[in-house]
Parts: sequence; C-alpha cells; structure tokens
Amino acid sequence: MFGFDIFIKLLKLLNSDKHSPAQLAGGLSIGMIMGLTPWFSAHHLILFFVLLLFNVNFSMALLGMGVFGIIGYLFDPVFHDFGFYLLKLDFMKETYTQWYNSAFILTRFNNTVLMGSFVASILLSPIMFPIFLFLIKRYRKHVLKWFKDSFLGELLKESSTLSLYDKVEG
Amino acid sequence: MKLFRKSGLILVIILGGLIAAGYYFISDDLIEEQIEKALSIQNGALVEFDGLSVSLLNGTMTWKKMQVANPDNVMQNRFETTETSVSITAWKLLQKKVIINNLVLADIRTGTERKKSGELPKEWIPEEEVEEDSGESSLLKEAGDLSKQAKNALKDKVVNTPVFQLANTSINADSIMGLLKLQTPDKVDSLRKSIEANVKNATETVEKLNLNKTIKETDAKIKSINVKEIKDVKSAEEAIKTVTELSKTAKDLQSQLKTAKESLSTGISEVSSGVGQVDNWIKEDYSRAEKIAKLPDFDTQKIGELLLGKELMESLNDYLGYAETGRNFLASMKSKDQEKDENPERGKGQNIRFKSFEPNPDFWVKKVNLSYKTEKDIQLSGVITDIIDNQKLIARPTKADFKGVNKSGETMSVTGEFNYLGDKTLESFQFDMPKMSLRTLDIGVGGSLPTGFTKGNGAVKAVLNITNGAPKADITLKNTDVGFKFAKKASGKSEKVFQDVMGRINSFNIDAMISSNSKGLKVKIDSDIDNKISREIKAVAKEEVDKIKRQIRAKVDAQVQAKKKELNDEINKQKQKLEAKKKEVEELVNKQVAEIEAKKKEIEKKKDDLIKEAKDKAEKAAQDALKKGADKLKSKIKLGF
Repeated sequence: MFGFDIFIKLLKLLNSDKHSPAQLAGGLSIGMIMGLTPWFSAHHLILFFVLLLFNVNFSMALLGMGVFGIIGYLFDPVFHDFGFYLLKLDFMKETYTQWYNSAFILTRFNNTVLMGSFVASILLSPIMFPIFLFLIKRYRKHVLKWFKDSFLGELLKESSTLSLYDKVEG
Repeated sequence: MKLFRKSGLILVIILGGLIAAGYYFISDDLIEEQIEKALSIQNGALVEFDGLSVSLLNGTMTWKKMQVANPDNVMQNRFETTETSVSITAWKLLQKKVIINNLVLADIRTGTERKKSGELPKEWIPEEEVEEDSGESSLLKEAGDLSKQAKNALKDKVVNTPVFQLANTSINADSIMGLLKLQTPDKVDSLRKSIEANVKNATETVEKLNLNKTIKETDAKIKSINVKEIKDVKSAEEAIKTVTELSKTAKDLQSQLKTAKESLSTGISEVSSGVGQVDNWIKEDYSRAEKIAKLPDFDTQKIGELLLGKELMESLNDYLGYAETGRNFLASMKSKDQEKDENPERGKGQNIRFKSFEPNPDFWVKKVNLSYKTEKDIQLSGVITDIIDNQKLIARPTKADFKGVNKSGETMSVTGEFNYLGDKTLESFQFDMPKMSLRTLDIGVGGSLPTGFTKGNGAVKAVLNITNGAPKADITLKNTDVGFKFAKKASGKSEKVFQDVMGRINSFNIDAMISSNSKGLKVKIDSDIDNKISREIKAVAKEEVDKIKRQIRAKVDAQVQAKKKELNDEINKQKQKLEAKKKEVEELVNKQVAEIEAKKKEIEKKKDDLIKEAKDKAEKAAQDALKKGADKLKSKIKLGF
C-alpha cells in the first residue's frame, strides 16, 4: 500500500489549503533540479539548504526528485552530449579554466553529465515552475470539485477509505 | 505567507554543525583510506599508514609508520618509514588528488618482513593493468634475468676456458700415448713386406732370363772354335759366321740385361721411395697425437669477462631493477589523452580537463628528501623531484639525485631521470664511483681464477638508457694498483704460471656494454686485461705445449724410429742385393760379349792371314809360271835365230 499512501499524501497536499500552489510548485521545481542532476553532487547540499530555508513544500521536492530522477536517468546520454558541448565552448574556456584552478572544481562542474543536466534543469526550472503552478491551480479549481461530486467520490465517502480521504482533504 | 522557514534555518545551522563535527572526527580515516588506496594502486601492492593525521587548515599530513609492500614479494616491504611529516595541498584531497609538496623520508628500512600479505584487494586492481602487463617492458623483464643468465654463462665459460683445460686436465705424453695407436710401425711392416715382394719379383724376372745357361752355351761354342785349326779361308768364313751368330745372341743377352736392369732399378726405386713415406707417416702420427692432446688455442676475450663480468652484470641488474621499479610506478600513473567518451557509464559522465594555472595532476609528489641505508650497507641520501602521473602537465621529467657513502667511506653518486614527455619513454641512469676498493669484491668464479683482490682501486662509471623499454648500457671499470688474490696455492705448473702472470698485472680496464634489438639483449664485455693475460698465458702455454709436443715426438720416435731403422737396413740390404745381382748379370753378359768379340776378331785376323798367304802363294806361282814361260820363250827364240 506504499504507492497508495504516497498517492493519498499527494492528494492531501494538492487538496490542502495550508500549502499554496506556489509552495508546491517551488518544491517540485527544486526537486526537479535535484532529480535531473547526478546525486550526491555539491549543489545538492546547497539545494537541500534552500529547501530547508525557503518556505517551499518538502514532500513535493522529494516527489520531484523521484520522478525527475527517473527522467534524468533516461536522458543521461543527452545530458552527457549537452555537457560536453557546454564544456567545450570556446568563449567559456577561460572561465572554466579559472574554475578548474580553484576550489570550485569540487562542484565537479567539469563533469559532462553534471554540467549538462544542471544547466538543463536550471534552464527548465523558470519554465517548469509556472507550468507546475498552472497545473496545480487548474487541479484545485476543476479536478478537486469534480472529484468530490463524482460517483467515485460519493462512493468513497461511504467507505473507510473515504474517511481517510476526508482526512487528507484536511 | 513567509518566504523563509524559521525551523529550516535552525535545521541548517544544526546540520552544518554536525557536518563540521563529523569532518573533524572522521576525516583522518577517510583521507587515510583514500591515500592508501591511491598509493596502493600506483605501487601494485598495499601502502599502509599507521597513525595518519591530516590538517587541512595547515596543509600537513603526518604519520607514525608507513609500509610500502613489495608487489614481487607481498610478504616483504619495499621500504617502511618511521614518523614523518609531509606538506600537502589539502583541498586537493577532496578532489581525490594527492599533491605532496615536500616529503622528507629518513631512516627508511628496506626489505622488512610483513606480518600480513601486501597483496592488493581484487576490487582495487585496475582492469587495464592486466592488459599492459606484457607490454614494452618485456626487454626489461628479460634484463631482470640477465644476472642469472650471465652467471650461468660465465660458469660455462670457466669450464670451457683453455686455461682450465690446461690447469685441470692432466695432459702428459704418456696419457696421450696410451690413447694413441701409432700407425707408423704397422705401415713400416707393411712396406717392408711390399719391398721384399718387389725385390723378389725383380730377382725372379732376372732369373727367368736364364742368362747363365745361355752364357754357358755360348761360351762352349766359342771355345769349340780353335783358330789354329782353321787352315783355309773357307773354314775361317764358317767360323766367322758362327761367331757372328754368337754376337747376335750376345746382343739379345744385352737386351735382356737391359730389361733385367730396369726391373732391378724399379725395385730399388720403390724401396727408396718407401723411406719418404715413412716420414709422412710419422708426421701423421705426431699430428694425431697432438689432436688427442687437445692442446688449446687461446681466446683473447674471456679472462676479463670471467674476472669481473659477474660483478658488472650484478651492478647492471641493480640499475635495471631501479629503472623497472621507477618506470612501472610512473607508467601506472600516466594519463591518457582526452577525447570524448561516446558511451560513459550512466550517471558518471566524463570529466573534462582544462589548462591548469597550477599543474593539476591526480598524483604529484613535488619533492622527496630521502635518506636510507641499503642492504649492502650504503648510506644513500638525495632528492627525488616530480613523481607525477602525467609529466606533460608540468613539462618536467622525474629526476633523482643521490649521493652515497659505503661503510669504507667510499663515495658515489647516482642520478636518474624518468622522461615521459616525448613520444618515446626514456629512463636514464648515471652512476659514478671515483674510488672503490677492490678488496671487498668477491669475484666468486672459482677454479684457478682469482677469487678477489689483495689490493687495488677501481673507478666505476655507468650509463644506462632505456628507450621505450629497450635498455642500452655502458659500464666502465678502471682499476689501478691491482693485486689478485687466489683461493689456493698453485698446484700445477699451469696454475703457477697463471698466478705469476696475474701477479705482474697492476692495472686493467673493463667495459660492459648492453644493447638490445628485436631478438633480445646483447651483452658484450671488453677488457684490456684479456690481452695482457692472454699474451703471457699464450707464451707460457706455448712453451708447455711445445714441451708436450717434444715429449710426444720423443715417445713416437722411440717406437717409430727403431722400425724406421729396421726398414732402412732392410731397404739397404735389399738394394745391395739388387745392385749385386745387377752387377753380376751385367758382368757376365759383358764378359760374354767381350769374349765373343775377341773370338770374332781372332778369327777375322786368321782369315785375313789365310787370304794373304793364299794371295802370296798365288803371286809367287804366277811369277814362277811367268818366269818359266819366258825362259821357254827365250830358248825357243834362241833356237830359231
């Protein structure tokens, strides 16, 4: 029932008035960056602190890491090619060389997959954040109401699961 | 809604504190494991630290003990150190790079036993190491066995060296005569029989002519002619006719005599030629005797090799060993040129290198100050610079410069360079020892050769270059004020002479050269001592050989000359016999011919006398008749008138 619990938690988050769509979308965006980039990189620590410091949803970040981790794995060769392209850009060579000769090298920026996935996820995040925000808002406006009024929703209300649903509804 | 989370801020502070504390307490272990792994992989066997402490802030690393296992013998350490402090670039460790700025290693102990095996854990063994194992260093491996090969080769040469054949083999005329079966006596006997047969044959040829009978018959016929009884010309002419026939017979005899003489002369000639053959047979017997004696010819290129070849080969092997250790260590750290990895492992990617303002190798020991005592009790101290995984990053080769002193106070210097900057790898070594006491050297060849030196100094210079794994070396040893030491007093004359010869030599040079080609290593050892020794030895050996030759000749002569004398006597006897026969026959025939001629002359004179007498008588009768007729005519005339 682990998958079902997560699903229920996700529904709870989406249905909760305690978490704004922006908080949820922010958490998902940070999770996306962390998921697409290789794990245990130096920037993960920074993003983790960002997650702790900023009032974004932690669970959505974890969800984003899991979902985009799978996507990142599938797109690994693309990130490798993109990263190699970025690291071989002539006009960036001097900058890279300076980074390479400093402690910044500890970020492993010179790794093709890390560079490719990190830049791609950073570029995607301003695009994906409004999309996540829009989708969450649309969900709350249309899907949540439709769900409550639906036969399934009525049926679930009568069952013990419905009480759980009520619980997650907040 | 607040942008920041207060609880999150507290959590960040707590986490940061925990990370700092964790780093403080466990960093040494982490770094120790990381450095041990990195160094062990480079070394090919475990490198272990005890009590390693790293201060990232100060950039220092200290340890109480370091053991570097020997990959060739994992139960032994290449060396181990006591407490040591090292200056490092600390933050590079977080990058899994080991940059040691200055490493001071003192009181190093080499070849110490290990309690546990120093074998690398399987997961640490790099895959490519297996592939590279049989690469360009094969010649060096071959060279690694060089000392063993050289020793075996030298042992063989000791056995096969003429000096030892002469010294160790009891060559004497009697033993050679025992082995030798002289052919001359048998041949002389055979010749003798042949001569006898020839003489018999010649005599029989003469006998067959039956000269005596013919002479007797002729003699009887001559005697039967009595000249006094010849009264008239007719009888004289008949006698002449008979004598002429006898003369003809005599000429036939002379002709037969000629044939007989030729037969006898041939016999004599054959008998005489037999003597010449005997001399040749004797020469052949001498030659065979000398061959059986295996009297040696000297090779001028062996003595020096025998004397110090082993020492030089061992030195060369030491240098090759250092070279191989160095090159293997550095070769294992070589970086590859960077091209795009088309198919990296998922999530791993590829690390791109950029030009470093400061060289940024994975492993770099900038300077090592090293001092230690070798197994041969030589105190070495010096500096090794730039032990690095990729020399191209710093554009400098790895260099070593050592000074040493042995327990006798003799100094030496060793410099080495491992150059992997170009397309070809080049390792070069130079060893210089201006004064080395030869007394400590153990030649160790044995036999009748010197075992060492009673005095003397040697100056050693060695240059070894290994290009792409192919070694080329030149080691020169100049020795002065030399005195040779022998294990035992000379027992035989040859040994005594050899020791005397060696005693007269007070200086010599020896040069060992090693080169390589596609077939393998080629070692050549030259020395001027070879000429010096072999010249003297040759002279002595020649005398010895001449003496043995003379003894052999005397022995051969003793057996052969008696036979030769017998043969000569026989030949002379037979010759005399033949000559006598020839003379006898010749005299007989000549006497017969003379008699016939005399008889013939006598008869012819008688005939002439008889003719004259008849003529005189006829003239007188005619005168008388004329006178009577005239008288008768006169009387008739008177009567008519």
